[in-house]
Amino acid sequence: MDCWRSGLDLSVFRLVPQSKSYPPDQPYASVGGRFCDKGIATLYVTEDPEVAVAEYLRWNPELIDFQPMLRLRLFRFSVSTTEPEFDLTAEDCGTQFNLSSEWPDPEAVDPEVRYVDTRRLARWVFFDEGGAGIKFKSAAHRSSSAANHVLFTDRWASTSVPERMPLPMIDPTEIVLFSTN
Amino acid sequence: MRLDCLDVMPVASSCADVEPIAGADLDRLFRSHLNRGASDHMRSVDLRVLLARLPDETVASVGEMLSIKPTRLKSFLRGEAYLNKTQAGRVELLLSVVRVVSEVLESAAITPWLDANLPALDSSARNLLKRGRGADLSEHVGGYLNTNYS
Repeated sequence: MDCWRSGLDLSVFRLVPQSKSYPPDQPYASVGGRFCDKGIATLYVTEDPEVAVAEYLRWNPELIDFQPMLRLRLFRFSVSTTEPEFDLTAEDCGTQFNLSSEWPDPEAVDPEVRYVDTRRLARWVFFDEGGAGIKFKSAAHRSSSAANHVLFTDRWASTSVPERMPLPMIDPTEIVLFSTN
Repeated sequence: MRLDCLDVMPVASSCADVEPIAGADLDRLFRSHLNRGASDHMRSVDLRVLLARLPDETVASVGEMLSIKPTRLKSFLRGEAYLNKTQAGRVELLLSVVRVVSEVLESAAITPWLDANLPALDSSARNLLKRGRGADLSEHVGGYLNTNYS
């Protein structure tokens, strides 16, 4: 079972609120994310522009009907990894952390419960294995099989200038909402 | 008018009827008057900014959301009335919510957003504000600026 991928070159997408002036390819130490650890600067990206929008609307379902009036910016840029990336979408690779290759499992309301295993995985990948990031399946879009990635600190590099892209309109029935919403 | 008449002189009486205030008390009174004037000016600016960000709302509808009589809001904007601390707090809270929503939605969508149901809070933003749940709303819209995945 090979769960590590080396030398990746990816074209990825990221949403940024219009008022934010930070570069879209800049990692930051967030609090509260699925693979969050306050000590690790991370960047969440996706391989599909529709998934980027679906992810946002999944978290904010009341904004689904306001899609034509969203003031979000979508950027595309390229990244290459300088260390291996852990592939959680590969079969059985998450087994030792109680993680399925399918998301979301489980969907507890409390993020401290919902994300306990993925955060444990992230610490192992970053601190113990020196990995560049984790590839994981999006839970937000029913039809897309494109993957998401969480990239760690400086173990990857942006290899193109971020390019502004048009925001795609998503069929609301394609968005997988949290069962608690 | 002498300075020590400020704030304590009834409209129909003269300053001579008022007990003089001196020394530290006078300084304190003067400072408090200046401070109130400054903060009321800022509240007035906040309210004007709020109204400007809500082009489809009226003083009446904003007053209803904030549980402040529209006549009082209008008087305040003309500099003829004060808002108390609670009312000023509501203005600032709604302004902070509208600022965040404005970051992710066009201004024309804000009134429809105020009326839309927010599933996580099981109510519309407008109703939450009327019911004094502005803090819940503020915390909720903070999530609009996050773009974490799955």
